[in-house]
Amino acid sequence: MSGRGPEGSLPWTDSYDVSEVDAIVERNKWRRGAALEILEDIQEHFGWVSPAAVQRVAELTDFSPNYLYGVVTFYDEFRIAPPGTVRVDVCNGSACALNREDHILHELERLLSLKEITDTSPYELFTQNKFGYVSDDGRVILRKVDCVGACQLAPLFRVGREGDHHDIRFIGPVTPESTEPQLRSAFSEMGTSLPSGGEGTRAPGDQFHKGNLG
Amino acid sequence: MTYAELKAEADKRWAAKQSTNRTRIVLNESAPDYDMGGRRTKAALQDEIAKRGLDVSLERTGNFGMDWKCPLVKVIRPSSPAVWYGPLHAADVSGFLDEAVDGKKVNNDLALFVEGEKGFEGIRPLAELGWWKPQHRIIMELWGHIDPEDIYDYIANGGYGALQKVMAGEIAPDKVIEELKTSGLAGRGGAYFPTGIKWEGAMRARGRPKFVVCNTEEGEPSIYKDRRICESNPHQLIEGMSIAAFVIGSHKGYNYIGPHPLAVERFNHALKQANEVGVLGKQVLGFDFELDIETRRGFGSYVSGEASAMQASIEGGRAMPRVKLQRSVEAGIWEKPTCVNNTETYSFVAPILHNGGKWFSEIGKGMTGTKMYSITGHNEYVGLVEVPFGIPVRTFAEDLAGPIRSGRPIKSIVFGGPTGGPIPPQLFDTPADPKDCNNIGVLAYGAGGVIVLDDSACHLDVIKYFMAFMENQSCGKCTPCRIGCHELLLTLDRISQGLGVAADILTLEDMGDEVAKLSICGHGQAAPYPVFMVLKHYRDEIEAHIVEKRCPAGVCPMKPPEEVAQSGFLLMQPVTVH
Repeated sequence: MSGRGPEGSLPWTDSYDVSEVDAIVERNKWRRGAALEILEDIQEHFGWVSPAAVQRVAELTDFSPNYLYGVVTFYDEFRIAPPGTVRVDVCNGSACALNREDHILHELERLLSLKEITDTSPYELFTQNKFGYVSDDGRVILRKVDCVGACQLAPLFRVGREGDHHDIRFIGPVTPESTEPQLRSAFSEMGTSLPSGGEGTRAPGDQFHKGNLG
Repeated sequence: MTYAELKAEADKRWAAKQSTNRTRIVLNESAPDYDMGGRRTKAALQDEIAKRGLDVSLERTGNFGMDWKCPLVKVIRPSSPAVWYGPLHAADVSGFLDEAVDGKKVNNDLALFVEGEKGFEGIRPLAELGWWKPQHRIIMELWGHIDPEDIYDYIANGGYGALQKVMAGEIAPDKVIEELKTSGLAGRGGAYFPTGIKWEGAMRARGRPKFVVCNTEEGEPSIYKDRRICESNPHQLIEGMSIAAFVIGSHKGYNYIGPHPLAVERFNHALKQANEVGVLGKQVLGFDFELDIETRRGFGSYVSGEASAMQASIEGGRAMPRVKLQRSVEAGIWEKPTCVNNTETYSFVAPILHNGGKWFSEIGKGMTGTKMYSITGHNEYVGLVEVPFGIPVRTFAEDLAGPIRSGRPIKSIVFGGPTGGPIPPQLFDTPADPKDCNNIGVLAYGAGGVIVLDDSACHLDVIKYFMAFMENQSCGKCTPCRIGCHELLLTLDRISQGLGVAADILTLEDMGDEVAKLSICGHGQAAPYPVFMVLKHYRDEIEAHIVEKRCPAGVCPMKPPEEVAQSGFLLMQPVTVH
């Protein structure tokens, strides 16, 4: 299991300094229900839960790696592959779905130079983009997420930096025509540019999704 | 600190806040405001005020429910009523200050309403808004008026008074339970189990230690009431949990909050403050009683809102429901007695003890009290409301949800989120109450999600969307839910592609029945309810898909007849939810 994308050339850090994990374990290990707390702290601190980190937690506690992976893959907010730097989330709440957010998804795929991703198997309807699709330069990840609770804007997408809860731009209501200018202005406000060229890849990690039947 | 000291301090601070001669600009700071650019508005306001050297105070408050006008701002000028404005974006700040503060004028394009009964300089009063009239606010009473990050604001408005009465013995634990029983308060998470009976069970349970757990996990689409409570008045929730802990004899509380960063942030801040001033900690309000409340973060899973799944998650594992041989008040987290209630339920406790159970029981028809609903869909007024039980569904369609954005007629209103069902217009006189709605087929009234559909929606498509959500979020522990939801989804998808056969309706009914009856937790038990409701009230629409091979609303991707002949292949096609 590698943290890298299929090409092995994506500019992600393959792992992080596991010694920082020790402090997190030390802080939490006497709490009740420590496993989830430790993993949540790792996720919040590093942005993803690496295999080495899971191994380290297992060494320091009584939990087996097996158990820890079970927890990590159960919850939608955990990532087991490194995040990009910019996240574009398309909301899949009921208000957005009723207002046809799929057209916006297609438009975003085009603008972010990703190939069409909406053809999925039935197992992955909702979290097909739990890990998302990543542009060829590895910066931008496009995901379809569950209701973000901003239904007044439906249909909407949001643009933000990975790991930053505060500076997120919610953009909506969008139409297929208005997607391009709105996305471009959000990217320029953030001081970054749209990825160009390539067709994108599926972000690694999907193979570990809980998948009911698959 | 004792309650008397706290109250004196709070009153002093509150009076100083109110009696200021400066203009007060009160910003609504909750998730919808931030989503709409509230943080940038705030920064722009701070810059502009500093630049002009204005003598105004910039304050903070929580949500007001008017999500469709966020970011909201309230301006209180000396000796005139509070005027609300929205949406105030960063670009409008300069003009807004010109008019609202410098110019001492009120007639601003952004002005929404004036607080109180009377209009002011041509602006309508809040009491005349159709959206406001049906509302009766108990939980939301202080929203928009107090600072959620300041415990003294809550105490000055009567907060923690009920806890003091309970701790001081003015209201004995037995009496608390009696008041709750009189009030008829029922669990607001969707099961509507009487809270008084639950607390009595937890109080009598013999295991030790006991736990108090609050369920703030909202994973389903379009429900966002509990997280707003944590954002807008977290102390009311802490007070309810503290009373519960004292009554049942617990020293540890957990609040399980879903992946909502602001709600977690505000609740943690409130806990920190409560510990600092001595509302929580070794000596609650100076009495000899220890209580510690801790936040647990849900990490995004719908099923962890189910009580036993949430308990598994608090224990640190996968949030998988358990077969309940004993009720959770006997054996909950770590097999210890646990009092689990919804955020909304806990928040009702303090007002009930203030005003008496009888007062609460006189509000609403059918079930007692009020209920918070989050309204969303094709309508204009997207936001939160709190109304008494028993008002007709029509009130939602006509007043609370506002006009339809596209101007089309209303097709139906879905009550209960992804496990509810669409109520057709001919049944709009039904009272919005779990029992009455059960009678017309909405079997899971749920936690108060209302989705308004106009006639551009196809009901088959809507229930397919709900079923896809339920299928995805099924934890996979029990077979009826894991396989059943999946097969129901495939059947619905087949019909939506124009491949349906007459027997599919029977499949939906029979398999749905099995899933509902055999699943071990509420997730599977409720998953097929929308299908039943649509088959009951909109059978023609489904039959049009199957018999005439057309989608009346033109939404479903019906395959042309020549492709249908190859249905053997198409059955293997992936499902797409638009």
